[in-house]
Amino acid sequence: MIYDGPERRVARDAALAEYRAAIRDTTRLNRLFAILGEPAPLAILVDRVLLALSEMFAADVVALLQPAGPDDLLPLGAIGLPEELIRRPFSGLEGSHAAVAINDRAPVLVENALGDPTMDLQLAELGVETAAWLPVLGSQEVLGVLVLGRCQPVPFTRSDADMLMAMTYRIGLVVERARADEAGKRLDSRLRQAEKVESLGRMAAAIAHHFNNKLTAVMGSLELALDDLAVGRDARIEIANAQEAARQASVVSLMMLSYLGQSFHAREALDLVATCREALPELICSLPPKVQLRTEFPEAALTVRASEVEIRQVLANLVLNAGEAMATGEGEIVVAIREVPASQVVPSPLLSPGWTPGAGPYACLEVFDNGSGMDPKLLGNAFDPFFTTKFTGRGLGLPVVLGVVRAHHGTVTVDSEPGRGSTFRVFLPLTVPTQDRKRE
Amino acid sequence: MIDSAPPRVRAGTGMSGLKDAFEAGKAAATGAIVPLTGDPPALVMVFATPRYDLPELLAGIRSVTGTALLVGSTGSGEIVRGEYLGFGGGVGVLAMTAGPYRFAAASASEISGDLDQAGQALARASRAKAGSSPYAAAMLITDSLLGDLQQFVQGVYRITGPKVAIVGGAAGDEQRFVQSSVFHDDAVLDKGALVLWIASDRPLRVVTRHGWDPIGAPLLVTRAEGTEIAELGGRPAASVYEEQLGLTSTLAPEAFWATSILHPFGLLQPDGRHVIRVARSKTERGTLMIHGCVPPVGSAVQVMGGSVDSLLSVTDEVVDDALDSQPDAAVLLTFSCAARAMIFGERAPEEARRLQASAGAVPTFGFYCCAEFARTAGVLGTHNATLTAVAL
Repeated sequence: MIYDGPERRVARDAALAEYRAAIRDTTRLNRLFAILGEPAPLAILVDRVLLALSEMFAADVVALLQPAGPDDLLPLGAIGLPEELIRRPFSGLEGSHAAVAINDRAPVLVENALGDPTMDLQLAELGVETAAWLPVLGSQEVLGVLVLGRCQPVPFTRSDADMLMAMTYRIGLVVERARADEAGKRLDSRLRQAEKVESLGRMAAAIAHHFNNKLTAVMGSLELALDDLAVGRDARIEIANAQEAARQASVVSLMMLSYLGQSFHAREALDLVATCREALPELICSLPPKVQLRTEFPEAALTVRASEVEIRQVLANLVLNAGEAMATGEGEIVVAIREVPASQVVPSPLLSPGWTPGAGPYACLEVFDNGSGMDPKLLGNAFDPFFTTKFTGRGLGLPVVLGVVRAHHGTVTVDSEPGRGSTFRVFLPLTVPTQDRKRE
Repeated sequence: MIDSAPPRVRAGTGMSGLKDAFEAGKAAATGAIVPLTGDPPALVMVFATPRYDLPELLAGIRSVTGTALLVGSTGSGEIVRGEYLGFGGGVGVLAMTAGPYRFAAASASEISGDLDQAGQALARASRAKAGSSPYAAAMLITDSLLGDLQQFVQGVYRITGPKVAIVGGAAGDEQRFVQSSVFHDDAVLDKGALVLWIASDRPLRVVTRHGWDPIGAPLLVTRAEGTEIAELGGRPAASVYEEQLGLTSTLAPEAFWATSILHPFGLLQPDGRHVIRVARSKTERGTLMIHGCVPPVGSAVQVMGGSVDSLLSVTDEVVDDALDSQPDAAVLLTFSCAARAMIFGERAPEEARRLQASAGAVPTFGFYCCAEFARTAGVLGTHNATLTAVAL
């Protein structure tokens, strides 16, 4: 007969309790790891994890908090936080439970939350009586805090905390990996977008070429038709109108080609200072009478490899644009040229994404105006083709500047402020070091 | 002196076993409104056998209660003030004034797909109609055949948080598992769900008990698919289940239900409690189909056992706990499981009698459902083979 006295029964019950606890802990970890191993977006994984934690630990509130400012934490996901509370930040202030958990990299267990003045208001409002705060650790840093709360006087045990810490290590790794994946996807997306833009650019260039060729044929035919018509015929007026329209369309096609960095013009060593000095008198005549233009040009030549036609176009577009920025019809434009080292060329990510200056120095053509200036939204669109704030504008002046400069391996930057004016800077690589140049 | 005490709820119940649906509804409603002494009801609750022409039944009830908010469902037996209306028994109607509460309901039919989203939408809509309040209860009445009903509960919980009691039951069809219906005003909803929002100035407490005890070792759910447990401890779930019961031969699929209803699974909780899950059938693949909500992979379950007496023994405790939280309660709403009634067999009327005996003068009203909703801790709020109550 097997002895089954009280001691043996007590020992058996204790062993059974241990066994059940071991099963429970194993299943908790298994379940969490199974969820975290699923191929799903981070938000969905977090939601599933929090639902599982709510079930496993009978927690009425579970939230994964992430820093959202110097002293605030916001839920990346939450269970049991009603909608009206989910956007209310948790405190990350010195002395808060979250801050202690983050600073100590250790769990904080709160056994009586009802009388705890440092308890977050939303948890107090929900009647949370006991809570656990756990730092979510990544490989390098604390990524956030996991908080669990119960609306009953059932405190989280040290054993619960140990289990939850084991879980938060895994959660932290998954959060970190997901963020890295998402950052990679964003980069991929940007690259794909850039490829798409490049492809569209090639298509637009092909169309512009095609139109330009056809328009040349149209203009030639109209010229011949006009020659065949006797002077005084009414049709000559219509044909002349058609010629002008075709010419203007051709100009737009050529400007589109310039924007897209395609040009028929040969590039050669060119003194930027001399070219601008020669082009300016004609431009000054086109400015409103009360707009003053001043120049700050160096004595020495600054040689760039460029097309003179296109450089003149860049200068013209910038100066005329500056003149049009004078809302009152009066003001000052300063055109300056100087040499700058590559280190001072700071490209705009918006206008020249991915562009970096070469090793050598650059010529900087700067056009300042004290006109109306642009707000950030307007500035963001200013170089888009066919975007214009002017009733009669084509919206191709600044895009052509950008296209030409890009084609010359340079970059454009803009500083502008509403009411304070704008400064456009064109940077073009110098081809001959300054010390080897001499002005005639 | 101005009496600042909140208005008390007045509630009445009525029932009818008449064959004609309209007349049965009218008779039950007529009985239910008597204690309201002429005041119009703010809420009408209806539980009925699915054998009626249901639109006619509702028309009969509303011929008496007018346009008062009506909620309810078909079930597998009704509980009306100590009476148990068994399969095909008829209709039970509760009519009540608002007292300190505000009632509002939102419902949907032909629900398919994301039950979590459906739960959120209905909870949000019913709360918006009821308006804000310090406390509340969300009473859920769903078609039992929608799928994993815990998904619906968790969707509701996302909106309510822990301050709002979640209670209710899943509509049934007298255990045929073919078609159950949810009622909202004069509409009979197929594949429907309803959330009744009860806005309150004081906390409302949900109580739930089952009376089952574990008889087997804790088992790990290692594979679950849809509404089925596929594996326990890495082995076919049906085989492991039968081993736990000490069976020497396998259960025939057609004989499975008679055994599994007596030995549900208990989903082991952190505090040692068990949330009950009933396996409804065994498939040819050796998986177990769970009614309502499958224990997730990684959770631990135990095979449970109980007797008619152990299951009935919880009634007093449920009533006492529910009424303790609402000393001036006007009605005790009860949701018992259809499986319990089947186990009780001929003693089935005993539960309704015991409930009313414990509740004393407070009328009891409810039905036998295909899943009980009662969230008391954490997000898990779906139960089988359990008795749940809330006092208003």
